[in-house]
Amino acid sequence: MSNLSRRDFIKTGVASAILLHTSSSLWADEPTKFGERRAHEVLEGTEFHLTIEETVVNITGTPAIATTINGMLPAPTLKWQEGDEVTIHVTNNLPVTSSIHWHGIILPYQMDGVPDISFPGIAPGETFTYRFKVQQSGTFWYHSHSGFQEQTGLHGTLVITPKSPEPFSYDRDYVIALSDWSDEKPENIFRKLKIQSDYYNFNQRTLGDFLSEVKAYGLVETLKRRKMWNQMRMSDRDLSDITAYTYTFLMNGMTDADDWRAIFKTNERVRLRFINQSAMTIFDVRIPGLKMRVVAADGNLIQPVEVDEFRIGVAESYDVIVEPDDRAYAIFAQSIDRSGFVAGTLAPNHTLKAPRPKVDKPQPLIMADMGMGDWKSGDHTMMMDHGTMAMKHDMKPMHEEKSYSVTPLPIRWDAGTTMRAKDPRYRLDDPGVGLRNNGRRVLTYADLKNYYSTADDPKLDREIILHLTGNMERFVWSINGITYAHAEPLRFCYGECIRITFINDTMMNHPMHLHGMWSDLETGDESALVRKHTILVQPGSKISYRVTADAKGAWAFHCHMLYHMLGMFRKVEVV
Amino acid sequence: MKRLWLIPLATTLLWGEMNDDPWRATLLMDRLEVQTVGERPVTWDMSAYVGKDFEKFYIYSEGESTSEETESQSELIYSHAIAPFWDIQGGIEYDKVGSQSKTWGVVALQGLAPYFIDTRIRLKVADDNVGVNFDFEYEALLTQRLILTPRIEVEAYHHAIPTLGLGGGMASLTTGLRLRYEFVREFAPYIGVEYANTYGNTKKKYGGIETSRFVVGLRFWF
Repeated sequence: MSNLSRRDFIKTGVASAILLHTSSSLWADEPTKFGERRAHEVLEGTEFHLTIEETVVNITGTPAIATTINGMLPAPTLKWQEGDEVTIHVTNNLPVTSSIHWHGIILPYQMDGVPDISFPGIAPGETFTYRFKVQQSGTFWYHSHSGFQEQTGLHGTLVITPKSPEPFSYDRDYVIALSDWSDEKPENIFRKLKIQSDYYNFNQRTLGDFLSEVKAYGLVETLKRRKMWNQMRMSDRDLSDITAYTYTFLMNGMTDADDWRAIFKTNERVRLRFINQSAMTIFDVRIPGLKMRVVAADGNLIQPVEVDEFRIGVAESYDVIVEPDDRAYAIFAQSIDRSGFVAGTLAPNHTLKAPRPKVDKPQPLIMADMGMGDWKSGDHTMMMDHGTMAMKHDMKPMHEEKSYSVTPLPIRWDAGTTMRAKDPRYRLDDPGVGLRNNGRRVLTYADLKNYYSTADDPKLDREIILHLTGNMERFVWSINGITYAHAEPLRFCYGECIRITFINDTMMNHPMHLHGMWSDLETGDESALVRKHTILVQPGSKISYRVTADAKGAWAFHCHMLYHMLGMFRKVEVV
Repeated sequence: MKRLWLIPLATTLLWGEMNDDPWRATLLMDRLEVQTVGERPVTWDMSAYVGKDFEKFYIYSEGESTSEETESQSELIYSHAIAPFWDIQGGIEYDKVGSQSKTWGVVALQGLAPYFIDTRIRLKVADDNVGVNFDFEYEALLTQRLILTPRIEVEAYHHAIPTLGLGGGMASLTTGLRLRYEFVREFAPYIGVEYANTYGNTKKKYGGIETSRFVVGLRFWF
């Protein structure tokens, strides 16, 4: 090294400069043959051959390189049978390490597909064989757990047919996988966010907004309203880190113009399996003119609930049943920040068109989203007396008299953490920013009740409290103020039942996903804890769920926002 | 120096896929403008860094150039995050007026003050003198892309620096209002007005002037 000539030094400098710019150009020189995008397929059986490769796609009008499976974006839908042993041979034809994680699937940890936690990853040119027994049924998904490959297309749906019949009937069955696509390299997106975190936000507060507030409320009141936000240097318009400025939203890999279609015959019942396979986009979904009966959440049966609209966090899934009339409907998914949408059509034939509804006006975040009190009291909680407010509206899950202890965990408040929720509340009945008081019946977590009784579930042994932390200004995300790189693993004792409480000390939603074990969400009914794999934690809120540590090994536990998860991540060891 | 360049490379490779804090380098030309007075001087204000979330190496350069003379202040700075919105900085500064120059040690505080005010306060120390510089900027969005930026910069010295034409006490105040249009975040032409004045001996003894001028310029980063 010390003998580097000046010329070599400059070359090295240039090389690392390029690397800084986009680490994916590291392999740009290697010869790679790009395949063509292939039509989407459903693969069924017990043995599967999946090939991860780079494929040319054209989603925006400009060709771009996607990471696909068997040339498909999204990856092929895999259909399994509950009780079967499945074998999946995954060949990695990328020039970098890859992996497949089976999201929400209960399996031995060696099959979970997280590089450096479950296995070393699948090296370029190698084949890894996954083999495990399918012990569950419902709608799930799979995706790469390496780098930003999920953003560039490496995600697909799992449909698992149950052994015993489900408590509802339907005539048609469609998967609706939502995703976000950008022609920009994810490494570039990440770099831009690190340099200017509001780079993609074109819904920021303007002077005009200020003036119209002055007109409506007067100068003094307006200044009072703005005071907290200004002092904390937080934006109430900070709804999505990455927006439709760069994203094209997709439904089953198709744009709104492509118009993905679900066809039915008159009087048929249609099952729609919604899965949010996005890297960063939370969607609000509705089918104008049609009630949706939600029958499953994250693959698990719930007591049916009829709604107009639901919010689906990254990695969540909802199965709904609809009974359409003989006409065309738009299946409409708008992003949480209202910067864009994707829609498809539910129609009795291929020609009928469904008009798209207008994207809603974005709502700003409220004080509750900053961890200051109750969401129902709107923007003025600050002026009120917290003590009395706290008693009234807080949707409190059970266990006020705790028979278990809280295990203290290391926590750090420093340059990486901007905000602390002073008065975080359980907000299970809060539909969330953008959906509050919109006149529609919106699904909330308070509506989710397990189809099966959970009255006999194991008693809690202990609780851990995890703060979801970050600094939006520096685009740094962590748990308990400590990023994954600096964190010790969380240790669960095999067999114990742990209550996990999240306090979201940020102004973003974080869909938190624990691998390998179920997250039984406390929604207020002890006998019907809903069983999920991903819990959307609203900004400034608190939420609790239970985990029975029934799976030995090492597991990943993280925010499923792809650009948050690098820091907002923990390894969990069940021993 | 050689090693310094290798750090980013090695770190990126070692950390591989789970790197929440990759090395990055960026350059912001906050102001590159022509002023519509006298000899139409060109002025610039640039900052560039190589670094990570909490540690950065900065180069700052600010100055004014006419066909006759160039004035500049350049800094080489190490920056460390000490609070969510604040970095403490230390390094050296090299000030130049024509053929005369002076080198300072610098300690600075850079960050975002409440009410979203971009702030940099620096203390310049030499064996025989002390100076301070305050720089505040605010961005008011007229629309999502049309941005109005008021800015104020004040500089003061304990003792006079005759070679640089600076008197003791408050030396200069510059205040400006610029209106830029961001075609993309990285590229924004602007127009603006600026008022600059000098005080005390900087004015009386060394011929510092008071000016009001229109400016036309470009803000860009990459």
